[in-house]
Amino acid sequence: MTTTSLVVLGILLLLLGSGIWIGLALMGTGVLGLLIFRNMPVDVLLGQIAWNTSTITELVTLPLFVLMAEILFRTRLAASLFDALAPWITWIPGRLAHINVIACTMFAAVSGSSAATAATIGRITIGELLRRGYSKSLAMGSLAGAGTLGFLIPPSIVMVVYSVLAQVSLLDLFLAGIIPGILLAACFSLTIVGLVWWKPELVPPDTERFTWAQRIESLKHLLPLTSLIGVIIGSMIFGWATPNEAAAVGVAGALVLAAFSGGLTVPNLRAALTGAVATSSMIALILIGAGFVSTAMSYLGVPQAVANAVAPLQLGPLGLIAMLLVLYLILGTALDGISCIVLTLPIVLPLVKAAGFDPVWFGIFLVVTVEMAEVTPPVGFCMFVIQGLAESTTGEVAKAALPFFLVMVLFSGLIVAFPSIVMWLPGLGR
Amino acid sequence: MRSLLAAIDRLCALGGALACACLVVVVGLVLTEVICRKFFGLSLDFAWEWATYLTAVTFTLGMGRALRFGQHVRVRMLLDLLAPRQARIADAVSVAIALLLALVFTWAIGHLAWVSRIDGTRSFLPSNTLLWPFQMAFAAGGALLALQLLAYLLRLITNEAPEQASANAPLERVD
Repeated sequence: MTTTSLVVLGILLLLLGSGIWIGLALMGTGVLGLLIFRNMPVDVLLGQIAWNTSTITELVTLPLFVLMAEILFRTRLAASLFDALAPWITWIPGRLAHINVIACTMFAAVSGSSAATAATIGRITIGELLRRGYSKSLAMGSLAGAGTLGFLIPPSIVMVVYSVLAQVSLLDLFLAGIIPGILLAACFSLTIVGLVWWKPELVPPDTERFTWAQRIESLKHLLPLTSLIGVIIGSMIFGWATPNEAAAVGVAGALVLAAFSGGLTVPNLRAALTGAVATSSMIALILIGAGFVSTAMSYLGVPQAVANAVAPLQLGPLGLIAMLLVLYLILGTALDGISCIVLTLPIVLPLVKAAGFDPVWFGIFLVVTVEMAEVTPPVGFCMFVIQGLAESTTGEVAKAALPFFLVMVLFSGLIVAFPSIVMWLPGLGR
Repeated sequence: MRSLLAAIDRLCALGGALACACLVVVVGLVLTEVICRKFFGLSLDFAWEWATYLTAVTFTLGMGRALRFGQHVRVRMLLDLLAPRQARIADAVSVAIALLLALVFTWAIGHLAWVSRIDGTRSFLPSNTLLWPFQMAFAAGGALLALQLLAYLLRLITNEAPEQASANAPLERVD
């Protein structure tokens, strides 16, 4: 690798390691790299890139999807989901333990965030499952695994970020996430079945009985969520709204839903807005830093130097992907998902493209790998949320999430072996 | 000192409130565009463009408040390994560097806004919008971030808690 690349990567590690906020550390790396190795007006470049990055059309969806999740968090949606699903799943081994998986899968279709999905569903299900005698580890683990589906099932904030940085179609990414999301949810359910078969004491004795009349009656509770999903998807299918505009339609739908459930109060609305702004600002600072360091690295020839350094290893496409999986698993222990992506993408994406992988496929692979970052200690936001909900320790949540984490590792191998799982749906769209 | 910190917090709270207002306008603009196109067959050429500019303004205006409530992400692993006193000193050095970088950021986007103001730069899209008002607001957000970093540093030096717990936890950091 060239001296320039080593110095730039050294500056990045130094700034990140010293605890400087990630967005500013990325900016600092770009500024110092260009000041040391290139004679150019860094301030002009930084100002223009910050503005250009922040005004990318797709980014409008980012605060809107976050706002939608914030509004829905303050409704009775999760309680309705529990009431609707509980009578239908008593015949599956593990019974109500599957409610986390099914409810998170459904909620993920209106939420772009894993932590929001886990928080919204978990604040109802954790208490209900524990009250009925289900094992705490099963309740926490299944929620930790299924909560991460918020990233994979569209809409997804991580996909918005990836789409902006990798310059790929957001619609393609959203389509590509649907089948892997449903399959991964099925894998989580199978994991629960396996765990309960191995340790039957994880679930209480089967005493709850529901008649068919009760089951059919319970379906009315699904109406709010299915209506919202219907409005969002329907607005796109019928051509009323573009995929970007569907985010605003979703916000409007969430507001209507909140109004009907009595959750549309001024304090709730204010809290939802401030929460959405804070999260969006946090992500935007990282994105601006990433946009600048990415350009700076291109000027300095860092991606090319890393590619040249990796080439003699003769990893081949599968070796490269295996190496990246290990890299993201390691990074995921210390960083959140979005930071993992923005820190590595300027270097990793050119390598992946050169190895012949489709950037849409790689986006989904990346989403699955950073989902694991959400449940690995010491830093995993999904884990932190569940820790708070279940009044547990980080270690206990991480241990409970381990089987589901291993399933995600295996699942990432599955989409490498069968890329059509990811590419089939966007292929139809194209 | 106390009045300076309070003033910075008030400014950042104001920035956060303006960011919320911008977000509401963004939702309104996009929905108006959808409704106008669907029901009246006309497209507002400025709606999406202004929505993108206001989203950018939302991002930066909220940055100072987000810092006050500990929303921005940093890697604290090495800091957490140090003894409390050493960690506080190391943290202060990191924050000082971060402040310097935030000032560079603010200067860069402020310069962009100033040049746009002087040149009367307009967007090349059909609405031909004057850019500097949006860019000035964008730069003001950068300044709020720098100010809150200064407050963070002063609070570290005076042994005060630099971050405030959020009333909206656990959902505020929903990445």
